[in-house]
Parts: sequence; structure tokens; C-alpha cells
Amino acid sequence: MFEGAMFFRIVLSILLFFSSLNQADGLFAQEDSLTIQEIIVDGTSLRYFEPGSYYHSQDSILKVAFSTLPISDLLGNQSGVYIKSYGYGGLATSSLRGAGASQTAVVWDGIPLQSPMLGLIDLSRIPTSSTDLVSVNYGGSGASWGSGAIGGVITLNSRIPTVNGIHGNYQSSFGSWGFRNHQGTIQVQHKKISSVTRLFSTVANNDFPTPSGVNKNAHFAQRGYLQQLYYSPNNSHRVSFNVWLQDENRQIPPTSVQAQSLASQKDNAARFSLHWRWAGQSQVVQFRTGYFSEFIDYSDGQILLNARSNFSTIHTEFELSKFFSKQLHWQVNVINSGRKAQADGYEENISENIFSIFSGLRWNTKRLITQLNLRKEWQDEMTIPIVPSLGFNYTISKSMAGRLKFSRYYRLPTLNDRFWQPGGNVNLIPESGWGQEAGVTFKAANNWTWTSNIYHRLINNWILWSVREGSSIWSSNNIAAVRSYGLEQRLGYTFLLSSFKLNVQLSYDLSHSINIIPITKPRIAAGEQLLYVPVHQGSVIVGFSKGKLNGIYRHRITGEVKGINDSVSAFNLGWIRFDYSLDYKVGKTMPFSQIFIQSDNLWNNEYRVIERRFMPGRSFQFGISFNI
Amino acid sequence: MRFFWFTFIFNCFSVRAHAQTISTFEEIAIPSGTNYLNNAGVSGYFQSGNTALPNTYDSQFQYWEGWAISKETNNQTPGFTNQYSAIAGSGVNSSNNYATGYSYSGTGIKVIGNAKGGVIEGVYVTNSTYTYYSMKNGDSFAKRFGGETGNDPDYFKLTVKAFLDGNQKPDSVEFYLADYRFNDNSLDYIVDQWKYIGLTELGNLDSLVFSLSSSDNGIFGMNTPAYFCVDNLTTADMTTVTSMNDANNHIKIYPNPTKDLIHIIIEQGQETAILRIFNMNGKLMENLTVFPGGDTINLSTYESGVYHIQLENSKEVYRKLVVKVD
Repeated sequence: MFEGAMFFRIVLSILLFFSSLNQADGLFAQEDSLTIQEIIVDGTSLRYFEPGSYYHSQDSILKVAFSTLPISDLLGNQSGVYIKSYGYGGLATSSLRGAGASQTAVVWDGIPLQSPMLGLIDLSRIPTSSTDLVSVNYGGSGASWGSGAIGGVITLNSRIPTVNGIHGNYQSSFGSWGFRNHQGTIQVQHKKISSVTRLFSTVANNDFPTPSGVNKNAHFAQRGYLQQLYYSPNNSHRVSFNVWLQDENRQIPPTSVQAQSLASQKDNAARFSLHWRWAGQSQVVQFRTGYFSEFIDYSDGQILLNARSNFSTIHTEFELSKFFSKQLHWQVNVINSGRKAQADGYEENISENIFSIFSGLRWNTKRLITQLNLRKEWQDEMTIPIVPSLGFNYTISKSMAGRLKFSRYYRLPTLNDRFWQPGGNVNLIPESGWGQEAGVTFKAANNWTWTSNIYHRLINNWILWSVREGSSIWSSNNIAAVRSYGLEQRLGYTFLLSSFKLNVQLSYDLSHSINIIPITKPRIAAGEQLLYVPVHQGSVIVGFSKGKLNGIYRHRITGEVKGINDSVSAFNLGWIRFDYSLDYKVGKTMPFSQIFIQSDNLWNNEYRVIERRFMPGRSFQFGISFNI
Repeated sequence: MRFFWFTFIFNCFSVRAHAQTISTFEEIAIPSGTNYLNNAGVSGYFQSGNTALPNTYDSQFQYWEGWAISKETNNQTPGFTNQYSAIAGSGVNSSNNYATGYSYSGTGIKVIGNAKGGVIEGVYVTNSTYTYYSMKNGDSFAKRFGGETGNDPDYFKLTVKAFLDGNQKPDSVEFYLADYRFNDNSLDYIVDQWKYIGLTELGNLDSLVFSLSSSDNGIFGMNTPAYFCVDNLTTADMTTVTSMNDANNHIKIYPNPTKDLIHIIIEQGQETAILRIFNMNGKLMENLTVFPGGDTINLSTYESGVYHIQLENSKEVYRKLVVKVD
């Protein structure tokens, strides 16, 4: 037998090499790798890090830079993630590798966050400050994360406090159009117990000028409380308990062709999770459960409409990770997810249960990591295929690594797809298909990195709300098939001269997502690119630091997309931020503090992300933060 | 407007030997506690006068399509929660009931009874309140007509097609429920009152199909809500439209247009006839007996406009449109 701790180090050393290569396009890749390390130690490595997949963890500086904004803004500034946004505070969903919003899984500390009613989560409702690490697995993994992990997986993870004592952070920021954000974090660790408390509040009038006047009825208010408690009685055991309470109250501004809007929406979310982990000599056992409840109250005084809906999910998961040798790692997860939902559009309250078994086997050799995953899922009324994936990471040379992955994907129809009246279709079957991807990462002389990926995916039985022949009712149907293929290029360069550090990243994404079956209603021709999927995206990020000054400039170019009514023109946006560190003393201590100023849409370009929706011109934010 | 004059001229020179029935929908009982009836039951039709209006109702989805009968008077609330309402606030002439049509693929009307195969004189139409405010102010799906600049040449058009024995007839009638295509934006309009559309141009028929089209379309089809309202659909018993000059030398009505007097001449030897004059809203203005030889009616107190003149004896009915001018 071998020592467990030593074994973990061996495994980690292999994984970290790939992690650092995969994430070498981050400004500070090392920090991200360390965060990955913590996650791996949590024992969920086979799902969090799959050979053959391309990952990108948010650079810590970028994450700090977007700390006042939701993760939709953070991700929107990341290469290859297209955010379909209705403007600040408005609905924001993602498209990864040409997939739809409900084809991206979002996972918080191992538990899916998507609404079972819609199959997605509004990313504008997740403050960047509510999580420590935002990581994107491009291409996703149906075997690991189940339904909806087709285009990708966005994982939100928390760091476990590692330093004894009390530490805190407070930040206030103010900006254009009534923007105010206040947030604070307190970390406490005492012997076996640690705690992280986060509080955040954001208010914005969002009343930016538009060609026809001012963006009205656009007020946004959000507040949240997140509590994480950890108890580690010894080196083997750890129990954590998380509470995440949040509410939003947002007005919904009129479209550019609407005289006025009186619509508003209240969102309420309460999320609780409990996680127990035991690590033995050669195995890790975990139990995870979560209860998530969300309530949406949409009202429009103009049309006398009030629509309420709510859902709750109970996720329970048992995980066993077994290390048979230095090379062989096996993991099994038994997962049960119960969902309940209520909406005006449902004839009755809906409840369903999904039971899944995941198993993964990883084989490590000096140069090759191979992983085979299998997932089988059972739902009350649907037959779900067995979902496999097979991935490889191969160390070609000291500075070059390659990836290759084959996987099956699927997405269960949402509750709205099945039960919304009129049009819900209880006879829907899951969307499913196969995907292949390959990539290579090259790292030279510690200052050049280049990553290139290609992918292909074909999804059949794609669910669309449509009008079937002989019917006049819009209903959900398995009528489409979509082929997606593309190319991702990342090039990074870091220049160090004395105290001056310069980092430049270039990225380009080519994403074709083509409907291959002609559809009459909605009118989508064969060979037509999907709505709101840009074929071309590119960006340039320039980061520099000298002494107490840090700066980042990002320029993003998004190609034309096809919208529901019109095409949306290509646009380019500049975003810039400067941080300056201050030194001052409180008593004998020297708190770290910094001030910052940032500007979005720096060049004040007029642009739209969605047709008929105004987007703001140049905006500014400034703020100050303290670390104690 | 162009079609109206066509219809008018056509009617001025035509006469039919038929009886007239007006579908007012007043006889259809709307359940108490509600202002609409969107379920026609097992028959699948609302019947009024000589017309049958198809209705589809899905009890599972509580979804309706085709026609609903409404007495909704709230013409202030926009949105689909007020989908049964006519923007005029009532039926024609402040009547209670009217019919609201809803379909993105076309809404039919069957002509039944004695009128089947006959001519439809015309129908009053207006916008639904939902559609009116959607076009006027926009909503979360559809655009405000005129667009962001107010200059978009938007329109919302009702097209009426006729069918006889299952075959579509070549003629159709178009009516703009909203028209923003004018170079001068001050001429842009959205119909907010009942407007009469003459349908005699369509000739003999046994069914009509009303279809809507808009300048505001996306991949899901028309964004403008596909609703409109109708009332007082006038049918005539089956006959063949003939020219007055060809068929009716023994009756003369002149001058037309007139400022005040019209002369009704019935040839000697013909039967005494009942004369009725209706305004365009269907209101009876005169009801008197005309003897062979003729009579003169003074219209000087009438408002300027178009009037139906009907002469009926035991054998036939003659009808003519007369224009009263100032």
C-alpha cells in the first residue's frame, strides 16, 4: 500500500501539468491551477477534470475586475462565451460552442443550478462576488454532468479557508446611471471550524440615454447572503454547510419599439447544501445534498398580468472514489434529483424524479491520461440512453500536450416543454447526439502559449417550439437536428521586465451551428445558422502591472448574429480598468486596500446584443476595497 | 379606400332579388360573469343570422382559435389579457355583442341557410383592443408601428377571400386596419371605430376566409397579434347579381348622388312596394309604401353618406345604394 497523501500529490502533479497548460491563457495561470488543486482534493476530479476537455478558469484579476457585476459580464468577457443579454439586470444566458442557453450546465459546488422549468439559469442573477472560482468546461460532458451539459459546463466553486484567524474584505463601488454595489466577505478559521460569510447588494437605475430618450423602467436591485461553514474534526473528515439567499427586484425596460413598459419581476432564491467528505488511504467517500428553491413573480400593470411560478429541487448524491493503484482511479456517483414546480401555465403541480449512476475510470501513464465515463439516468416517463465519454490527454513533449475526446450528449425536455399549456408535449424524448473534439496546447519559454481546439457535434431530436403540420397550436416538438463545428484559437504572451509585467492574450472563435432539417414554423431553413450564435468572435486582452498599478484593457469583437426579427450587426466593445493599491495603517496593522476605476463600452459604440433592445453607451465605475 | 368606392359604384348599378339578413351576434348568450364566449361547444360553430363562425376550443389547453363572441367594453387595457375586446368599446351602433377573430392562418365564416351561395353585402370590422395598443405602443413581442423613428412603413391588413363549392374565387377584398405607409406621417392611422367593408364584389359565395398580414414579422411569423373584430355581417339570400339596367327597367331611383330629393318610379301595372332606407350602420331611416307611378323622398335632413334603399313586393326585393351629399 502507499500513503494516501503521497498518492494525491502524484495524481495532482500530473493533473496540474495539464491544468496549467489548459489554462495557460489566463493572466495568472498558476493561481487558477492552485484553485483546481483544492477542487481535486475534494475528490471529484473525475468529473471536474476530464482528459480531452478544454477548460478555462477565470483569471483572478479578471474576476476581481468584474466583482461588482454578475458572472454574465465576467463570462461575456471570456473568449468563446457568447452572452445573450437584455442589458444590465436583464436576462442573460450563455451560448457555448454554438449550443443553446438550456444546453449549458451551471454547477454550484457540485450541484446543478438550472431551473427544471426552463433548463437554464439567468446568469445575470449570479454575482461574481458570490463565488471564488468560475470555470468553463468547453464542450461540456453529458456523462459527468448529465442533462444539458452539451455546449459546456460552467462551474462555480468556493475556496475553503486555509489561514487561521479572521480576514475580511469590503468593497464599495459607484457608477454611471445610479449604479451602487456594496459587498463584504468575512472569513473565520479557528482550529477545526471555518466560516465564510458574504453579503452583497447592488442597485442600478440603468437609465442610460437611448436614441429615443432614456431607458425607462429599468431599475434593478439585488441583495444576497451567502454563508459557508466548514467543520473538519480530523484530516479525514470534513463537513460543510452552505446557505445562499438572494432576491432581485427588477423592472423590465421597454423594447426600442415599445412606448413604455410597466413590467417587473421579483426573483427569490434559497439554496441550502450539505457536504460530507471522508478521505481514506486510497479512497474518498462523499455525500452531498442540496435543497434549492426559487420563486418568480412577473407582473405587468399595463396588461394586468401577474404570473407566478416556483420550483424546488432536492439533489442527493453519494460518491466513492477509489485509487486501485498509482495509475488506476475509479469513481462512482449515485445521484437522485427530485423536482417540484408550480406555474400558472401548468394544469397541476408537477413533480418528477431523476435517478442517475455515473462511473468513471481513469488510467494514468507517464505521458497519457485516459478516462472512460459512463452515465445511466432514469426518469419517471422517459427513456434516456446510456451516455459514455472517452477522453485522452497526451504529453507530446515538455512544452506540448494534446487532447482528444469522444462523448455522447443529451438534454431532457424541460418541465415547460412538457407541461406548459398550451403546447406542452409529454411525449417528448431527450435531445441526444455525439461530439468529438481535439486540441493542442503549446507553451514555450514560459512566456508564449498557444492553444488550438476543433470540435464537432451533432444533436438530434432538438426540441423547438413549433407549429406541426395540421395544427395551429405552438407546441414543443423534437423536430430539429443541429450540427455544430468550430475552431478555437488562443495565443498568450507574457513579458516581464523588472517590475513591469505585460500580458497579452489573443483569441478567436469560429462557431458554426447549423440547422439541418428545414422547419416551416418557426421559419428556419436547412443550412441556416442558429439564432444568436455568432460565427465569429475574437478578443484582445492586454494586462499590465507595475508597482501598485494594475491595468487591463479588453477589446471584444462579436460577429453578426441572426435574431428573431432582424439580424443583429457585428459590434466591438472596449473595456478598461485600473487598480491602484494604497498602503495605510490602522493601529499597527497594514490593511491592503485599493481603488479602481473602470469603463465599459469605452469607445461609446452604439450596439445591440438582441434586436429591439438598447444597450448602454460608455459607462464608468469607481470604487474602493479593503482587505483586512 | 379605393375598394370602398369600387364597392359603392358597383352597388349603385346593381340590384338583387333577395332578402337581407344581418348577423349581429346579439342572439348568442354570453354566460353571466364573463364578457366572452370562446367555446362553441360540440357544434364547433357560433351561429348568427345566416352565418356560422367556426370555433376551436381545446379544453385540455384551454386554448381557442377562430371566433369568440364578446361583449367586452373595456377598450383601455392593452395586452392579451384583454384579447376579446374591440377597440370601439361595443358592437356596431352600441350593440352588445360582436365577434372577435383570432388566427394566424386565417379565420373562416360559413354562409348558411337561404344565404348560402348568395352575396354578402358587407361587414363592419375594427381592431381588437389588444392589437390596437400593440400597434400603437408596441409590446414585448411586437413593434410600435412606425418603429424607432416613426417612419417605418408598417401596416396591418385584413384580406377577405371568398369560396364557392370549395373553390376560391379570384377576387378578394383588402382592408387596412392600420396603415403607416404614407410619406406624411400625419396620415398614418390605426382603425379605432367600426368600419364598413362592402363585400358584394366577391359575388356569390358560400364561405369567407379572413386573413391578417402585417409588416412586423419574425421567424415565428407575424408579431402583430392576429386579432380583429366583426359585427353586422349582412347576407342576402341566394341569387345572382344582375345589372339594374338589364333586369329592372320597371323601377328607377334617381338622382344619385343627391343633395335632397330622390325619385322612386315604379312602372304602372307593377305591385305596390314597401320602401325602406337604412343608413350604413343598419339603422332604419324610412319605412313607407310606394305605389305604382312613384314617389319622392326628401333626404335633406339626412347626414351625408351612403344609404341602402330597399324596395320589396310580394315577388322580389330591389336594393340600391344612394349617396347623400351636402
